[in-house]
Amino acid sequence: MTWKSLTYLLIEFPFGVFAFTIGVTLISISLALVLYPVIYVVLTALYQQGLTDSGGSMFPGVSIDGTFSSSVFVGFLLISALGVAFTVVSAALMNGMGWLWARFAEVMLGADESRLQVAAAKAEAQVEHARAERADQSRRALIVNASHELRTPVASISAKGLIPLVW
Amino acid sequence: MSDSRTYLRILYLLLAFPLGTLYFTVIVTGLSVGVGLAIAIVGFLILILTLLVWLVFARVERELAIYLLGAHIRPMFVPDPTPCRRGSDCSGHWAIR
Repeated sequence: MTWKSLTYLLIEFPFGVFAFTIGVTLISISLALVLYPVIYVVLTALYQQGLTDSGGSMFPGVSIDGTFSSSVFVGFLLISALGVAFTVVSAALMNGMGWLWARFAEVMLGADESRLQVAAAKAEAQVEHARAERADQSRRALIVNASHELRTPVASISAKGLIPLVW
Repeated sequence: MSDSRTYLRILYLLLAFPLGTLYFTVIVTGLSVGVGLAIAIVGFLILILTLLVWLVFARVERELAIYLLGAHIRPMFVPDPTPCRRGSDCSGHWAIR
């Protein structure tokens, strides 16, 4: 388990860089798309207050010049809806990446299957050994009892046979 | 989206970068300094220390993978089936009976 865990820890570095890059990119794009109408409203208001000098452009053909156009706003609401869809898809994508990495962690950070099998076999052997021990114990007890039960009458019979010889 | 597991997994993906960088830097530095100084006795101490740190990292990653990723990770050590009696070595057991 230790060598596999070392490999895992070292591979986590490139994976972390990859996952972080993908994750931050997807989250930023999602946020930017979802907040498109909000950004339009805020930038227009800032321009009207004179807090920004140059209006700039948010979209080809749409420049921030202090006038609020409702048709542009509806268009940006559509972009926002697109952003919601993008968010759902990117969350699923990141969830999938996490799922894959979880499978990798399961292989690399757990005990080997063979070790578990050895432990199971050991436990089974332990049970069998205890059973054999019990069987041996009862066999021995049987022999002791039987020999006692046989010898006692035999002794008394042979003693009865000897009595006349002694007398 | 409504599943909390998704958010935990995304959190793990974002955490994997700083943590992975930390693991890589510490382990690679420890191993190379340890091997380099092995001709002096200090190197072996550094190698042992690196080994301990690496085991701690693996333990941390196990817990993270279990709680954030929802991974079903097998136990690190297999419990010893032989009965654990008072006075004998019980280190391989889950619970000291």
